[in-house]
Amino acid sequence: MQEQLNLLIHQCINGERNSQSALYKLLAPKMFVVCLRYCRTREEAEETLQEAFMKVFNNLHQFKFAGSFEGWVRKIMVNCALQKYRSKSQLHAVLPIDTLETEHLVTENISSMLHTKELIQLVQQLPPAYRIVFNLYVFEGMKHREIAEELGISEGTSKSNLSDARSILQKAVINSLQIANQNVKEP
Amino acid sequence: MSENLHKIDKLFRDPIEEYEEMPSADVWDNLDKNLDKSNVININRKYSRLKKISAAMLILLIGTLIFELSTVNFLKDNTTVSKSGPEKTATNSSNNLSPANSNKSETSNSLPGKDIKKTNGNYNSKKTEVNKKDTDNADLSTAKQEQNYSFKKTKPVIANKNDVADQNTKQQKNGKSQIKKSTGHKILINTINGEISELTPEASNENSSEGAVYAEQEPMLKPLEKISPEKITAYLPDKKAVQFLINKPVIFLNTTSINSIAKNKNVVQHKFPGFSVTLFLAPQFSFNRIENENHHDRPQPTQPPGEPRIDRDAIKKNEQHQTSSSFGVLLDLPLSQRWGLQSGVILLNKNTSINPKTIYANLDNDGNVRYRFDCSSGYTYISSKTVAAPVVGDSANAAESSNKLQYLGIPLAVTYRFPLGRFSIVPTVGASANFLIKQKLETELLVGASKETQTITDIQGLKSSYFTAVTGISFEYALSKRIGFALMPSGNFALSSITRDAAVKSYINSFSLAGAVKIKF
Repeated sequence: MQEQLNLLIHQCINGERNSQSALYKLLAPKMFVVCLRYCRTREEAEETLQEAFMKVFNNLHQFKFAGSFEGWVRKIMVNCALQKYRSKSQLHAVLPIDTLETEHLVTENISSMLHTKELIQLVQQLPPAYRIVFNLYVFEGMKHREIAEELGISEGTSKSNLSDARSILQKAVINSLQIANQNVKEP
Repeated sequence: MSENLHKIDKLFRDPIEEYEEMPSADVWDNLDKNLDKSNVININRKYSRLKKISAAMLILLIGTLIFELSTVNFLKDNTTVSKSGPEKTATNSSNNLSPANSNKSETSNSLPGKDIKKTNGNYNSKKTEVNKKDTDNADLSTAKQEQNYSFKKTKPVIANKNDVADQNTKQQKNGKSQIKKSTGHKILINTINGEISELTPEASNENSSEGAVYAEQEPMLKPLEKISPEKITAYLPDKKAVQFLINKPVIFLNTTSINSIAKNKNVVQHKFPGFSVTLFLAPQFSFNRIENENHHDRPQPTQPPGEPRIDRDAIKKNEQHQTSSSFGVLLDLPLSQRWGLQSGVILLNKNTSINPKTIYANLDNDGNVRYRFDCSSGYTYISSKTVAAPVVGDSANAAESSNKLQYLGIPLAVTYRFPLGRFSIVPTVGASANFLIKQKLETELLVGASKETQTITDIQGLKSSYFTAVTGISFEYALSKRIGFALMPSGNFALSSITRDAAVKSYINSFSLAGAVKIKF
């Protein structure tokens, strides 16, 4: 399997369009979800995906065949998303966050009641700064120090943004659950 | 609270990381278009080096042309002077001219006969003073030049051999250097420096049967100041030479054609073309014709089970021609005004890139088991230096490979020239023998985790020579008599394949567009 992938990569380096198409079809579904997490809308995510894949094909010769190819492509996706974020002048949204205690979340119930697509939409609705920090911390596994360095902010800001993001998401999830419960109860 | 928040992380991370969603088809369509654009950019960058070399060659060519034109203009000025007809020499003291006689020297070139004014035959051989008329033109004349003659425009003169002979006889009897003898000299000198006397039609007709040749109106003469005395210095021949020359028919130059030449100074006349050498450089666009090799009389190579058959389709699909180049020297030998032969020496480069592919181990010619690599140029066996020898049927990956061949071509062609003023169109048809001088196959063998670069300089099944038919058309522009440049689109079509006993037969065909500098001798 790995050898086949390596062969495919070599063919893509050579510029074979069929191989490039095959590689795109292989990785696009996962990478599109990565882009959806970082972008506000689907259109923006598709644009980011397209730019990122151009970079993948143009720089494929730099891949050393050491480590996961998917991880290498994913890194490019994230970098493209971050580049897009930096290029836009973002206003740091200040949203009022309720200080009320929230209900204890039972993830098992939530996952059955909320589709993954809805979860992605909740992430997309976060303010840009919170969304980026949340993605980098939760999905990319970066530390606050690394996030701060990447985004040019302080560690405190990174932590604060993450906390706020979590709070917003939590509230959003609860609201969604309430709506979902109401829909279930009503005939 | 914090526990809840951490659960939020898990709540989102677990389902989202496993989730997949295909984007719209537009994304790939846009990618496709952008990839084409980037290919064009890469190709442009690839040939930037070639463009730089072409620009340098063009600058060199222009410099050579400017230099050549400047020397040609200088030469034309000088040759025009010599072609425009007789020049008046610097008047000077000279032999056989006395001041008194020079005043009457309107007839100094005349000979006995009708419509001829008699001349005074008594001339001194001493230095004489220059007459007044001549002093006007005497800037170049010097007293030092004793042997210059002065001439003026003369009235019609008939050159009659018999009369001259009679006169000569008289001269000899007298034993003096008489005017008639010197008349003979004057005729001679006239022919040397090109001065021509006018003849009347009657005199011409009467003497036409006697071998006289007639001159026409003498052309406009250039001012004496421009003439170097050295060019028009005439030396008295000795007696025997004079006798010999007088007895020879006198030939006067026909000035009509000379005048026309003098007028049309800028025409580069297309005479019978001489031998020429052409230096050229051309990018080549190759396209191979590949056929399956029929091993009717020979046992086919053992094919391991599961190995796909190596045939022309597989090879054709895997290979792409890279733009190659050729350069060389051509020699043109004219057989007639239009027809000619062309030969020379050409260096041909042929580059092919081969896609990554899977290769399989098989028995080689020595009975060892090695990986066999087939391509359009032949085949070769390669083995890993780090990994243990394979068994028949084992496979390995060959990364992107390149195949480079270099041939020395010796063409022989027939040319036909269509001259159009400075331009010429020269179609060419012939054949060429091409000899292999360099072969190289480079690949990267991927066996397991190991990666080895392999360079092969001995490809099996590749012939040492092959033949092509050559056809082309040369568009030439003559900048001067010696140098010109040409644009030569041409085609080479294989008459024989470059491989033998290989998986496939390859025939190399190519088109080229050469830029050339032509030097005529």
